Amino acid sequence: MRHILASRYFLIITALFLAVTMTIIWFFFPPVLKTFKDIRVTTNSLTDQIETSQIDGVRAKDLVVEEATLASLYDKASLALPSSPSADLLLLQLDGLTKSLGLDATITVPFSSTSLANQVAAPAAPTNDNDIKPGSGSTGGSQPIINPSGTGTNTDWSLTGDWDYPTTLNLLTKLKTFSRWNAVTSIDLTSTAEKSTTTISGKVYWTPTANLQLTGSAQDLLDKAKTLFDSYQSYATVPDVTKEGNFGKTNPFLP
Amino acid sequence: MINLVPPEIKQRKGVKSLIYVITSIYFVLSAGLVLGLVGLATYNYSQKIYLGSQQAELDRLNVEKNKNKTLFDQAAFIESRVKNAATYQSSYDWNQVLNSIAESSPINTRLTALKITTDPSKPPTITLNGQSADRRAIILFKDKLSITKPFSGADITALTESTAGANKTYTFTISVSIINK
Repeated sequence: MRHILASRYFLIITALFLAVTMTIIWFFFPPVLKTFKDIRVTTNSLTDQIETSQIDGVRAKDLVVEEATLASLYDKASLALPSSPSADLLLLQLDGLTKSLGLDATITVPFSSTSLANQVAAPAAPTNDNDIKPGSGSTGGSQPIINPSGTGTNTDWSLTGDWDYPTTLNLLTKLKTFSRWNAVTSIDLTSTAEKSTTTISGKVYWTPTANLQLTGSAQDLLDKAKTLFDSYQSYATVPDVTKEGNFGKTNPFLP
Repeated sequence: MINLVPPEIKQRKGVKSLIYVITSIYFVLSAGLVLGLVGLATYNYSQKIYLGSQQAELDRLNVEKNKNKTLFDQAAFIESRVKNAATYQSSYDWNQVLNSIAESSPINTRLTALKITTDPSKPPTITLNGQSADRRAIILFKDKLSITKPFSGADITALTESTAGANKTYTFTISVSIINK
């Protein structure tokens, strides 16, 4: 060993070796390794994204083929659980439901839109600020009562009428397949010698839609959705002001 | 044979060969490091080109997907509804509840009012008001409700007697809970 260390050539070559290796290890390897790691992460991420996109591609083919079915199911899903209170359509649906059974009903629905104003009997003109109450409406007969809507994702509704026990049963059966998903929260049936009166109260729901992503197979979804939504019955069509109604009066105060 | 080479020369030769061996090792190690570095850098370069093509493929697929964005949005909307259908509907079959009340009613009693109220924190309760000329029938009604599904804990909460001429009428109130699903 002593003889080796005495060799100038050995010392120079060792110093050179150490300098080269340390330079490579210290200065050149870290950035290259970092790039290598970054590329691995990016590659994995891109591979996952491509796999997801390829699955979406298969889904897209299924969806395009079933575009008409999808549109129909979307309409039914929107009726069942809309993304807004959609009180005006609920009112029309409940009205259609009771009329389909030939019933005269008092319908209470949440007030959510000024478009409902024309469906409420005109109250007495307010004489001061205290007379103006949000959601005030008529209270009797077949006239709908419109209440202020809640701030949550559900709201109350009720149907009241002079209905006997079999009619109430019939109405409850229809509510099970009512196009707007609902939960009956109370049933109040009173019977006297003269007449029977029933009030059915419940809740309907809505849920905001944000960043929804399709996660399952399109074909499975369509099959399940068909099975689910085909059992529901709609009693009114969505109003379309561009296609229905007669408008224009010279004097709107005349009947 | 006698080795006539002097020991100093022999030792010098040994040291020289050892230095050559060590130098070779240094060389191999340095070359390995450099080759590794170059190999890694080349791999990175080729991967970057590959990533570029992958990114292009992803962009193409995304463009395809965006063409059908409306369909995907509709499908995602439907999927969210299908998954949560049970959450937004009645937990109880009220027709079955009313039918069970009817089937449990004695033929000589008559209901005058029925009120079902629900509260998320407890089982729904039913209050039945009615009349009968037979006190025993009212108790049997309560007992029948107690053993009929989906009811539990039927109680008579009020029972009053009224007389009209020779006829006695008993007015009752029965309270009963519905078993939680």
